[in-house]
Amino acid sequence: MDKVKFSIRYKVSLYVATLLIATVGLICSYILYFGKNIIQEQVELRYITLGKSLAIACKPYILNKNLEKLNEIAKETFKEKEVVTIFFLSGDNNLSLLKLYKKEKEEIAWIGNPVKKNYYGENVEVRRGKDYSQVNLDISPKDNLRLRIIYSHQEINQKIKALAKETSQMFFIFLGLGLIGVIVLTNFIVNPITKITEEVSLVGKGDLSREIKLETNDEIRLLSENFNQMVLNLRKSRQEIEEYNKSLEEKVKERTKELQEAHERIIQNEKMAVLGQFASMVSHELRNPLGAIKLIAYYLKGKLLDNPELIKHADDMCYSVNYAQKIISNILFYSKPTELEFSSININEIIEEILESKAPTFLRNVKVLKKLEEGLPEVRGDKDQIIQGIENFLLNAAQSLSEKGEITISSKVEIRDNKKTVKVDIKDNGCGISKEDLEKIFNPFFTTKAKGIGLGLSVAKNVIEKHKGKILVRSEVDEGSIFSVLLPVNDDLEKIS
Amino acid sequence: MKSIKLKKKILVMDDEEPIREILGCILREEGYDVVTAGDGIEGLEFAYQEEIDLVILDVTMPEMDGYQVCRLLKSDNDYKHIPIIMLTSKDKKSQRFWGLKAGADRYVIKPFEPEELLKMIIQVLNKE
Repeated sequence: MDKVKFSIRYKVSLYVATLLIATVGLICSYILYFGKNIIQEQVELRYITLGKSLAIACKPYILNKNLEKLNEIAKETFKEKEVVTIFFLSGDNNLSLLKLYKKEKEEIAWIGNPVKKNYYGENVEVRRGKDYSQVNLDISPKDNLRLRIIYSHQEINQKIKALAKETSQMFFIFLGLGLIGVIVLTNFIVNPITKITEEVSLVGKGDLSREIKLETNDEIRLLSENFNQMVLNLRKSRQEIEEYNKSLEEKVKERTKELQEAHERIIQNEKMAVLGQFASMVSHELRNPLGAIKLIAYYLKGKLLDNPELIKHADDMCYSVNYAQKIISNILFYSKPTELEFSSININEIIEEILESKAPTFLRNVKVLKKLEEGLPEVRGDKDQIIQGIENFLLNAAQSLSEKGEITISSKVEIRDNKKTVKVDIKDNGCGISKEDLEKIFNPFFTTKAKGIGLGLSVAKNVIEKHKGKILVRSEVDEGSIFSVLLPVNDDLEKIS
Repeated sequence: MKSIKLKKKILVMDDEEPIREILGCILREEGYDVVTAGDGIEGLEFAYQEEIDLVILDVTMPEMDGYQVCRLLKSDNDYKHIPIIMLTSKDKKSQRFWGLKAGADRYVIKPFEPEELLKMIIQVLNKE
């Protein structure tokens, strides 16, 4: 903002100070003028009184021509030190001088024309001169006798001087007080305006955190309050805009991230597809030789009836082949999604089947407890896949166990979200899963174990989700884990059965 | 009149030699007569020449695949009484479907447990 050329402070000060000086000056000169007159009139009255008493005293002596007495009186009168000359005159128009008394060594500068004539009653006249004044009055109109006293202005001048001094003192005192008043007044008026101006200027530059605080209670305060309200509104709308911008930024970031993730997913999927084809091919080719090995092991077992140690080795061979086949079926599940073949299945039967079959080799040295609820309703599902899923949970549990570990598999019916659900819990007392890992365990190829390729749980989850089921995991490190599989019961199916 | 046989004769057709051979050994161990063939044509020759009681047939074979062999045998009045067990892949449901369509009596999903197959053989032969 540009500096103003004539500030309000300057203008107000100038106006008020001029007004003040003029007023005070006017009052002082008025006092001086009238004071001077009053003083002169006071003095004149005194000399008139003197003159009158002189006239009464002198009248008999003039008529008797007693000069001695007159001289005495004149001498007495000259004690009044201002009196310079006393005239005794006679005649109407052409006055003749009867007697003149002069004060010693006093020179009369003026006797001639008066500056001003003042009349005090009948036959009394005062002629006011520059340095001297004369009082003329009748001693006896009948005898045409007149008296004239001339007195100097010394006393008057002194008094006027004193008056002037006092007046000028007063003038300066009033002026001083007035100027202080002007400054206070100016501040009083101008300061809030200056403050508002500064704040407005700051707000104008973009600082919306300003607020005007005034101690006055007038229109300026009203103005400042309105201004504050305006700034508040501005601030609010700016905040809103900023928030909107921020959320927009966040949205953009989010979208970008999503896009990136999608992109990465696509690349990952492409990789997985290639890998899947490859893995599928390899797995498929491995199947037949594995099948052959299994058959050979079986055959050898039959031939080795009398050698328990070799039978055990042959058994191990079977188990190993089974394990290899399991890995292959997990890989194939992942790389070549197959369609589900639904039928009504009994979960308890499936669990029994898994535990009785030789397929889950990993359970060979593990204690497995069964707690199966009787009369479990049937669910719809692909039997092979459900078996694969539950086997994978069991495999995972078995691999987490230490030597003295055990697994409990239980089944029961539960009502969840108003829906009948079969719940299978696979509980182990193994090493447990840390919180960090818990989020990742269902990711393909995630594994914390030295063995395994990390497909088991991923496949299991996939299977359960394909059956519209859910998996819940609870785990404590070093205490064990519980995997709960929830499969919805088909009510229609139950009604039919 | 057919001569009385003590042993049932099983024809095993599989292009994988180890499987073919070991299956032969296992079945002989169980008391069956076994002939083995590595492809469809060779297998059919055995089927036409010898008196076969059961055919175990792999789907994937060179020269002539399992379906073709199955169809030929089942469309021939002289041979359609011979039960056929097909060996199919687990991940190919279509194989099972086409196997039954082609006239197979049973199917076994590879990889199979030997006991499973033996059980099935007994069932099929007893039915006959």
